[in-house]
Amino acid sequence: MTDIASPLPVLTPAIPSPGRPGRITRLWRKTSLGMKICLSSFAGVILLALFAPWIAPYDPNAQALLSRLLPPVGFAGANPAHPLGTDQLGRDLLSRTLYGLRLTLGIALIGSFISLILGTVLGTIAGYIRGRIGAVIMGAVDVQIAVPFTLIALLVIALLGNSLPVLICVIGLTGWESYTRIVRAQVLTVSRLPFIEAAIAAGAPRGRILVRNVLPNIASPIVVVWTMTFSALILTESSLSFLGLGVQPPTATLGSMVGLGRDFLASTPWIAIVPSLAIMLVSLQVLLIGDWLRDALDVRLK
Amino acid sequence: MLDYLGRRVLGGVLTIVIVITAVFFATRLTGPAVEFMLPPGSDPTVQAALAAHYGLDQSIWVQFGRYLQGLFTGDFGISLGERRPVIDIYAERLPNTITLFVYALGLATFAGLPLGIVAALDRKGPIGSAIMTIAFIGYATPNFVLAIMMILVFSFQLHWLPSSGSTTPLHFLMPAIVLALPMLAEIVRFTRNAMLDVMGQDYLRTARAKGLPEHMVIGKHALRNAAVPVVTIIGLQVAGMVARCVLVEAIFATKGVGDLIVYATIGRDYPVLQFGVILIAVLVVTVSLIVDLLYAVIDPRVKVAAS
Repeated sequence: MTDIASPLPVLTPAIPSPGRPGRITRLWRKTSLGMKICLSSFAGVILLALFAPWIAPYDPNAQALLSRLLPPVGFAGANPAHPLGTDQLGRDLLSRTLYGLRLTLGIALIGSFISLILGTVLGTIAGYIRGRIGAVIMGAVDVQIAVPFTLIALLVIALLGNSLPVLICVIGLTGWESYTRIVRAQVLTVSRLPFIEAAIAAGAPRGRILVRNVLPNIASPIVVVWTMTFSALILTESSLSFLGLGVQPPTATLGSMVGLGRDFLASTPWIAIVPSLAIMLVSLQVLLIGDWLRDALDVRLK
Repeated sequence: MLDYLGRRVLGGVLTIVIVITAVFFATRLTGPAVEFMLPPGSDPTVQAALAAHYGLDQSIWVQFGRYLQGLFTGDFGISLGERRPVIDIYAERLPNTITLFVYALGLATFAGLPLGIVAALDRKGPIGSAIMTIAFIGYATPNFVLAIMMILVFSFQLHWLPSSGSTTPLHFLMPAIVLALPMLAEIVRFTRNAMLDVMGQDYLRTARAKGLPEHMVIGKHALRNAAVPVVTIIGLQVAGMVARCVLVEAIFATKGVGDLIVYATIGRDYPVLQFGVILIAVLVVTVSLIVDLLYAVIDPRVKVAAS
């Protein structure tokens, strides 16, 4: 758009800066101040998680029994070398929280892409091909809605044991049915629009119409469902790890840190509070961003 | 109407049949159960004897037949951990879970509805904004984080409430609040939105114009029409509440079904876990059926549309 070598210089208005601002810039200008803060701080959280190995002052699993159960800075007996304090084994809570954040976000990210692809493919089949396969898929969606996901997760973990790959698969199964329902409904709507009929009339192959014309038009709802399920994935992972059914110690995720800190609530509550606040912060940010994106992209979710 | 109900009931039954089948094959196809019951490296003849005792040496279809037969005759198997009938264990645990649910549902509904109405009436005012902000935070806070914070404040700082167990009604207070809060937040949001929708309608202006007192306008004309989406959301939330109840019971050591299921998972007690999944699926399907029925009672248009 911006770099068109103008063959008609007369028609080009004299604008000092080349071209109009891009879509993202325009979106950013319309965004409220609160949302800008939320988006920037979430970008900060992602950077912290991404660069945890370089930022974290200590090895997250290194034990230092001489400096265990230190409170965070600001409380009596704190050591500035451990700004957020240490746990019962003398592990630095700041380092563990950073690494935990990294793992929690990483698992949720991989899991969310698995469920996005799975749900979108099934929804597209159900909406585009329809027929008996479509009916079977929608039946599976109904069953999935009837059985609370936590139970399926517990069943899978009991059957396959709790390891990181199993956890990622379990998380990847969360929420596929929301994609399937929305994508199916959207595909059904979009395929009835005149420009699709025109493409069919022009003799374009069905697969090409799907990829070139239908899918790009349903991208917004998919993105919105993605952001909205992402916070649910973080919570599922944290809950399972909290119960001791997720990633195994000594590896830290935010949920398992809260789970371990629970035993020390009465005497040294910060061990549980630090990761709890981190989970709360991230989940609040993701929810706010999801709501904002839904309004910004003007998507109605049934 | 009957046709609509028939289809809904059929769909529900089909769902339960699929759950029962899936649970059975999932537990049988992922490895011999005998290996979990005996210590590793135990005598093969002992393993064979145990397999024969539980009927695990027969073909999978024979096992499936016996399992189905058991479900219909009320024989749900023996817990591998406690060596007694699964049904007895659940019978002991169920009352606690039901108590917790009644508390939580009551709290969410009877606090959520008025708060939602107030938030709608005071849409731009400070009270309305405060309610909505708290509702959003309640919705965004993970259950176990809230539970940890509440235990910290009410049990360890103020010493008002017991932190775990299920012996007195006081023990149920904190788990019920934690269980209810996300649903309460949802009810507040939906009641507010439904009320705002309804309050812009012409018939409310008519009601006011004919001189009805404000509490009648709100209570009778607005609330009844706003109730339809709210009932739906309560029904939809019950499934989520069942799922959360597993976690909440485990945190507060409430001796209920959820706590049982978590420990069955950790201890790989398949018969207990299997029955738990089926029980909860049946419960959720039944509740959503009842909600659909209620829906038809509240909103006559559903009856018309269905027939």
